[in-house]
Amino acid sequence: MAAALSKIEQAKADLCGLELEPQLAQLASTGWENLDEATLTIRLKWLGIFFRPVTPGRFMVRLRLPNGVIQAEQLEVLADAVDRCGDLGSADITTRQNIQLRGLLLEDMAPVLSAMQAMGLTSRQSGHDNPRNITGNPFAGLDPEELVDTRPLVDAIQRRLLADDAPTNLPRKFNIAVGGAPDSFLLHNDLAFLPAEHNGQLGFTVMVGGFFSAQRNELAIPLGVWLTGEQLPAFSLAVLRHFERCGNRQARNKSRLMYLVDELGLEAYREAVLAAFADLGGQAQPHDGSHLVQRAPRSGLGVQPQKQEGLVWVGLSVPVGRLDAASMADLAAIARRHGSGELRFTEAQNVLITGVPQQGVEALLAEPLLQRFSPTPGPLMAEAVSCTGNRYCSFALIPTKTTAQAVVEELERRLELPHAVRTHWTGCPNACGQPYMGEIGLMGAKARHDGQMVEAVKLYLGGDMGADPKLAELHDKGVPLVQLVPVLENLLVERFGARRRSPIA
Amino acid sequence: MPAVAAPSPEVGVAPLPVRLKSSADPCNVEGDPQRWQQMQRLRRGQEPVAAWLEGLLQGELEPAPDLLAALWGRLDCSSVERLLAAAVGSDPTPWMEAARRELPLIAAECSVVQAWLEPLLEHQATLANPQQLGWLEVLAHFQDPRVAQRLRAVVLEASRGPWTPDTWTGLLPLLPLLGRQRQHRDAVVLLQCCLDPGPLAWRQAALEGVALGLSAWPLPLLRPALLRLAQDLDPAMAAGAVDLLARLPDGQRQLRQLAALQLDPTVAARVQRRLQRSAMVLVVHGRQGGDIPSVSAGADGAG
Repeated sequence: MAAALSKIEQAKADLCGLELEPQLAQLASTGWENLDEATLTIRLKWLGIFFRPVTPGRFMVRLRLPNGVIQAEQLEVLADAVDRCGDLGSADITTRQNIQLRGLLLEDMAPVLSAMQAMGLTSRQSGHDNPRNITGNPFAGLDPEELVDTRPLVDAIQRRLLADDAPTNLPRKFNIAVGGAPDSFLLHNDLAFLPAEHNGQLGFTVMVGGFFSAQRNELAIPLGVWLTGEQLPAFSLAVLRHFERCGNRQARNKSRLMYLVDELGLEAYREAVLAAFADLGGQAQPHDGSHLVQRAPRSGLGVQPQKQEGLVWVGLSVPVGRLDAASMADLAAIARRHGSGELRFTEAQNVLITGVPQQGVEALLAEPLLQRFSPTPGPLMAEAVSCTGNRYCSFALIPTKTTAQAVVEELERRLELPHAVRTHWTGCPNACGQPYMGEIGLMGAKARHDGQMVEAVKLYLGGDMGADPKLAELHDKGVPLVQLVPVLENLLVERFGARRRSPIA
Repeated sequence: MPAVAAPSPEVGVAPLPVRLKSSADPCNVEGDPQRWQQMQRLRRGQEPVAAWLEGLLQGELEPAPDLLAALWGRLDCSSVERLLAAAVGSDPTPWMEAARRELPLIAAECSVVQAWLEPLLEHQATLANPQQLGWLEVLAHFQDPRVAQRLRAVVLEASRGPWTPDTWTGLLPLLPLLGRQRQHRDAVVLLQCCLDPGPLAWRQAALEGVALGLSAWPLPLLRPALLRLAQDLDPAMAAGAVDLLARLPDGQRQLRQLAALQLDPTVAARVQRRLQRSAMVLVVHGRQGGDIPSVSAGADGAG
């Protein structure tokens, strides 16, 4: 007898969220309070619309920005959408090179989605059990160290996976990334294509099964398959179709791709996927899994030469990835005024202004916005990554973004560091802020302090995204936030070569 | 010994799932992954509810917000009545937090309405302040004319002043909740709270109430009130009104009227920005003629 469907699987089977798009205006008119839970919390996410229990009535829209590329005029439309929400409007750059807008009313959705569509933007299938925003080398097409330009590949994969015949009911979310440089760390993705050679030809070795969750954290492992760039879209589709058909739908905490690999065994899984690929007319080459990714990601901040002579990109640090309407509009204006009009978002939640002529750098660096979004941030701020936190997320146990920013600023006041230290802040065990990837990872918790339950963090240490990647491990299971600065200060001195600044007389 | 013991299936009433005041493990609290997963299982119906309920009724479990949040969708009416009648039903503080976390997601579900609405209405009415106000905030997550009526009465009473902080600061969350009730007649109440002299935070909370019920309010009331508010001396209030005006079907015409007036420079700039992107103007308002659409609980036969 077939097992009964879970509540979530039942909701997905009853109606695909994509079918709600023509009804958005009507749903808004009726009011979100009258929507059933499945529509409110599950189906709308197929359109990229997120009900936020912490701010009921103020919704979030998560876009899709393949490879993190956005044009100034597109960012201006998003800035306007956020601006209409006044003090409640904001946007976050995400760890998938993406952007999400906050503070919108359900009434805004139909016109905002329509305005986005007119500018070539979509929020389709950016949440829940869907293939999420596909990431690539943030410096693609600009990078003197680039092995392959990931932009057209990422675009092609997205087009294939959002086509009408692609799966729209996966057992769980699915992350895909394409590497294009020696520092493309991507092993936290369910499916990662890393640049690799085969018989003297540059293509991609396939890694599968990476993910972080409250239950289990894994880095992707080699599937033993090599593909050319042209094969990536069809292969991605084959993987998704197999996952759709065979993934675990009984237990959501055991439904990410790695569990399927475990269940079938790597050999059997590879054969099954290759068979699905063959159904699409594809044929892959066997491969030993070796690849050309050899070091931890560059931040890309500051003034960086492009491979195009006379041009640079300027990487700006956006503290913990949070933007407001004015800063979004300013970024768009700066990109248009000083660069090619294109911007990039990085997985470290920062922004790049691309195509800046050398002679225009000085003027760009004089822009007032750069007082907030520095091209030369401190060594901690440069690589501070944070989830949303409890201002907007009901799971988060601490205000991660504001805490991260305040703690990092204070530490930079107290310490001199010889190099950047990557901190990853997350508000709950779901690990959206990827604490296991940080040299220092911090996870929101509660702990007893002076007889009271207080906001705290668990500390993780040792995450490494270099040639020998590894996940951070638990170091301390409950540091109250009030003690966090001195605890981190000592850690940075003892383990990361920081020196205390001399007190100012 | 595990920090969290799962209820045993062998006995009629399982042992208490979480030990109280354990000092052995400082993380045996909200945020501990084991506890977090247990609450998720409880919320999803993958864990029996009886032991948790009994623990709360007997005062052996702390009414932690994460536990209460997990129970909103799991209890029937009689269990709710017992819970509210017990000691755990007096202090609304953890319930308010639990309600904020969970009820926006499930307060429209028939089973949740059936289990909670009537007992909460009765319970709230029996208490004295300040508990009564706390429980009103819990109750206000349910959309119901009786709830709206109680909210309206409290808001109207407070809006008469005097404006001493202890009379109104605790009521701020009620204004957006009143807007979420989407009762036709509350447009006047909320707009008046925006327009009348009063503390800025009060007026801003009322404006958020207007925003959250926007498509339910009658346009003939909304347009002139927002136009007036867009000329408010406080730029933040004025800006909010401009943004709401821009969402109305004929908002562009209203904005052009505003553009001809002398406004605070930041507000004038906002008006210009809203005029520049007319493609994003809301066109859905008023499909229901300003009335609340009928809630289909009865029609669904779910009672």
